[in-house]
Amino acid sequence: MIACRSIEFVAHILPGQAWKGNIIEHHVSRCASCRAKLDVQDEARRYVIKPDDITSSDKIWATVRAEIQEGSRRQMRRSLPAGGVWKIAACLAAAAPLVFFVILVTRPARSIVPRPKGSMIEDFRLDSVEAWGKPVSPVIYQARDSQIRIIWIKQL
Amino acid sequence: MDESAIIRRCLGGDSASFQQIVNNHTPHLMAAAMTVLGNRQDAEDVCQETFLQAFHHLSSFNGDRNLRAWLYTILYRRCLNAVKKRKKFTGVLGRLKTESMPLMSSGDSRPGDLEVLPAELYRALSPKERTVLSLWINEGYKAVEIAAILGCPSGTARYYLFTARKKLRALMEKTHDSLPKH
Repeated sequence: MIACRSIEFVAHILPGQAWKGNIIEHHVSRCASCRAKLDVQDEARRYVIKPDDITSSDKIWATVRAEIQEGSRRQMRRSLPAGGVWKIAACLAAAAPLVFFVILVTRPARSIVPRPKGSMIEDFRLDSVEAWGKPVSPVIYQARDSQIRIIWIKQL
Repeated sequence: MDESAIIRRCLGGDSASFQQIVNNHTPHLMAAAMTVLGNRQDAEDVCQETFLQAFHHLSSFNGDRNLRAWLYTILYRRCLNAVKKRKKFTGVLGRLKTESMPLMSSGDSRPGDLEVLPAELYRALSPKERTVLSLWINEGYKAVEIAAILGCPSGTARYYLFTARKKLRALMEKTHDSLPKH
């Protein structure tokens, strides 16, 4: 009995629980008294909850099934990962000033100086125009960056 | 149908087959969860979470391992989390009586032959000791199997088992003079 208590005391003061367990196991395997003391399995059966005491598992399955079905519905509904829309929106908002800056820099510069008359329609020229048998003065107009040319005539 | 076939069917998208796994293992998991947590409601919540986690991670289940032992591993971690949450909750509320949550709360549908010891057992044993005790008594697991579930060395599981059995013996002797004394 003293030996049993000593072993228990030594096991108690040891730091690691694995060591404690091994020492006690070693002792119990050799000590009939301690083995008998710890042989409570049959008596203890009366006191701990046993699987036979659990009458129904329907409620658990109902909840689990509902969760599984809801989970699969959510998965189908959700084409983007959680918060994906917000992440994309934030990225776009962050990228917008950069894109604007790039466009501004790479855009071809427009001349603010009006082009000379001659260069406007280099491929198009009217030498002389007659209207109703009389010579008239033509005026050619082409808007900047436009392919449409408007011609009107003035009586001389 | 054996469990490996059920698992294959579940992995193939037949979630209804999972019902058989739930029905087979619920009584065992509930018994362990109620022993660890001390009340039916928390035990049901933990069991549901365990089955859901198992369902979603069924592909990671090693077929060589015992399914129930795998479920117990998940359940054990869930139970410890529940105990931690409860501790935080009771701490915030100024140590709201945890003693008011006896193992057999009213409304638990239990056969009447069980005695009053569980409430004392619940107070005397740590959650780990209660887990070890439940696995040892209900499943007949040895220290090595219990250690695999708890994720600890087998020596540690042995120590938990030793302390749990010792406390249980002391409680039984206290409440039942009729038990043989050594």
